[in-house]
Amino acid sequence: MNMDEFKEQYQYKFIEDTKELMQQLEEYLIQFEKKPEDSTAIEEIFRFMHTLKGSAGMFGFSRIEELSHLLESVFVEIKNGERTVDRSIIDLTLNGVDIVRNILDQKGELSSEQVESYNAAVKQSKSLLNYPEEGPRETEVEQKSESNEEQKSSASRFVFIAIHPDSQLFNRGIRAKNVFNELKDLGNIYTFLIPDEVPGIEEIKFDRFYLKWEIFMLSEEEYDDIEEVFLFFEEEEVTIHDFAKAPVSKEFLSNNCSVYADNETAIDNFINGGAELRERAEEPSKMEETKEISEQTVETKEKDEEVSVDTQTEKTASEQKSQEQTANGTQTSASQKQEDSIRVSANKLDELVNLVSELVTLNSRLILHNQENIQDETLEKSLESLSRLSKSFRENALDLRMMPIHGLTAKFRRLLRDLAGKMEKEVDFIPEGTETKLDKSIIERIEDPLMHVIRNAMDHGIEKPEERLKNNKPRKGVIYFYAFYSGGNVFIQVRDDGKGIDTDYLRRKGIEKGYISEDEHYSDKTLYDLIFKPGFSTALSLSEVSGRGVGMDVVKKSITELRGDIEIDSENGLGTSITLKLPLTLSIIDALLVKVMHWNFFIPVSNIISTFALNSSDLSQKTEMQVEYQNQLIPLIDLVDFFNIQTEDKEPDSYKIVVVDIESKQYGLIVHKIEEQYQAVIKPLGYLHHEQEYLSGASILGNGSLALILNIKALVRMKTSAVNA
Amino acid sequence: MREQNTMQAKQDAKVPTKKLLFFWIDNKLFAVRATYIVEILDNIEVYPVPEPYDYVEGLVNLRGEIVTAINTRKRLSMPEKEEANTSILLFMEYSVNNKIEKLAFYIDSFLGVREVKQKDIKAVPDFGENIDPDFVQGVVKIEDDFAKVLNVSKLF
Repeated sequence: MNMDEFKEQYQYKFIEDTKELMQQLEEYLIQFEKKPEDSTAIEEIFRFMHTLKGSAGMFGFSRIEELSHLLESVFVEIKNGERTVDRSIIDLTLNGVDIVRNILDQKGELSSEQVESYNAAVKQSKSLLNYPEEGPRETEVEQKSESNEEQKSSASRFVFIAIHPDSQLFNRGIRAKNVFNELKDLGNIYTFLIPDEVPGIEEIKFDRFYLKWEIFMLSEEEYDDIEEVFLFFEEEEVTIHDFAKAPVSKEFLSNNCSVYADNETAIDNFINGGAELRERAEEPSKMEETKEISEQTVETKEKDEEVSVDTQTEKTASEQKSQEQTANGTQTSASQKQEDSIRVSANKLDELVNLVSELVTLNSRLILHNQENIQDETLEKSLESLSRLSKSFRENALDLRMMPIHGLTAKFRRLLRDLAGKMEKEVDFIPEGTETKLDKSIIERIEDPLMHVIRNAMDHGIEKPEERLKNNKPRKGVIYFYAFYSGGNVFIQVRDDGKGIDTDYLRRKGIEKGYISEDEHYSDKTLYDLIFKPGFSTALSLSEVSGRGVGMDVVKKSITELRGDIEIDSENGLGTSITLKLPLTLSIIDALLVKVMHWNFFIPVSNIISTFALNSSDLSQKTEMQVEYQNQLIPLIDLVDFFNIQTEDKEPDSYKIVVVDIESKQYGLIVHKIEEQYQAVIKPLGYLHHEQEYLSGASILGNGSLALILNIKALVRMKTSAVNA
Repeated sequence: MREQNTMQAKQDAKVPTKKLLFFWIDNKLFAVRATYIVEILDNIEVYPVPEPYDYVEGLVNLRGEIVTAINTRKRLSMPEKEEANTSILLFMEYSVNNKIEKLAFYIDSFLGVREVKQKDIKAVPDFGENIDPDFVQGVVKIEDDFAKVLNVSKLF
């Protein structure tokens, strides 16, 4: 691995980690806004900012470093009670989260528009912190020291710090330079670099860390503040010895400090400087004595009170937390986070699933071979247990790709918060079943459609508070998000208690657009389905929020592409629900294997209603290509014809008709042979086949040959549009 | 003179080289960058697929992965041959729209991988031959024959 690859790999990891961090930060910010008294949220926010600042600098994202530094300063003030939280601060920070995301997405290369919004955010945070435009950092240090003088009874302390970082320091994203900068902010330091573990130049590995330091420090800050600098170090890596406990002795120094012997005079001078300082600050040294007694737990009386207050709020916070948890599961992230886990790249999982599918395929090939050629009973039994084993192996492998949809709901919560502000509406977001797991790739692909659905619910569903009160509804609207399993599917429902959909309006609009005729009566469902027609919903909703040219037809298309389905239901005046039905995974489909000539096709079981046989003589008479099925004529689709299959094979004597249902209409597919039902592993066909829609992929059969998986809906659509044209 | 030789040697050491795989189609020698090659397989069953492009021959199963097989003659606009003795598939991968895609190209036979100097790959002369010049990056002389170095980005 060369340096660039190394950097790239870790940069990638940083980007991934930080995105995750941003999402959690977002959740905590919204939680914090709701309950500003919750001290866990502010602690977490503070910690995120601090981590972000450090690691962003290390990976060369100086903009993120600066911004998070500024925001951290804001939250330091909040944490210290010097500032109260208001909406503008949360807005600013959330905006900062978006900016960080942009920077990460584009690896630091921002468009001029984004640079502008970045600069605006920096300016805003600076003005919030009362920084002048120029030279923010210096001023901050000054301010800090001023305020220190005011607040703290300045006690100078003399501390010896030995840092012996683990060789993996770089990989942990810690920048040693920051440690020294922070220490310098806290006082005078006198540092010795100890290079005795640095190997010869040939043996140096650039990702390893070999240095150690011994530091003497004179500081007027609290011991805790110094300790906090080493927040990201392991306990065994850092030894801090506070001489407030015992006077500096030569014995201690020569025993614990490896550089003392060589630098005796220099260190002594430094220490004596400290002694002078100590003398100057006479009074606090008395306080120091009391401190010594209970050094570890409580520092000063003042602090003592603070601590007890803290624990109290913490308690109430955790009580509230547990209540909240039972109420709506907002806190599931915290518990989920604690699950022991390792990070694996999605590619590796794909590969695993592929390999396991191969195993299943090979297994059925062996079974077939044994049945046809060997017919050995012992072998058959072993093969059967092998087959059970490999099947559960496959299920396990598929399960690895499953992720809870919690991450999505966190994003929606943020979206709704922003929308509520923009539209002057009030809304509660109540997600349920966020632990429901779905294939990672499905989660990624339903995000945008769901965002749109939720935006619609807020824009067209939820009314303004005044209007709600007028209609005897609570002032605040509610948007529910349910996710649950049923059968082999996952259902996701977004329901609002807004004004519902006016079917009369839909009817008028539908007639206007020519989708329906004036004279006929239509069911509500048919009218709701109009919303999925191209150009329909965009025409309905040219507001700033939802009408950006993306209509519900696009939402429907994305869901259909996932082999899913979408349905609207509504009650005028009471609300609307939109339900998505999704497959658990994209990689497996229940399908019926059929043959057309020597071609294998899979027809998804979810489309099939029934099958029946038909004599070829019957078929040849049907010039209209229709067949009677349950007392009505249904159109026939000849796959030989459709795929333009050219072969010398003789036409069979009888055909099988597979009756499929697409949007409550039946069609008959003409096939030559029906084999059996499979759980087919779907493999992509590759980019050359992207333009067609009637094949959703291919699958490999037990005997090693291929079968094409039909997308019946697209096939029917193509066939009918061809007929119409 | 000696000094000149060592200078020459020094230069040679710095000269960038390329590993190319050489193969024949219709007794014409071709080459592609070896870095794109995944593997070469013989006698693989090709499963026909409804025509996305006329040069797509079908799909093959490469250990569980489905790869589209390309009729290289058609792809390069070379004349079709009735008795073409083509059974060897050259599997290559290339990044298309930020995704690594594999394709399998039919070839007649192959010579192997050779390392050639970058500067020995010359600009394309006007062939006057039946091959789409867009696909050819350059020519390189090897074992008394001239090989056309194919532009893999065009093949994909």
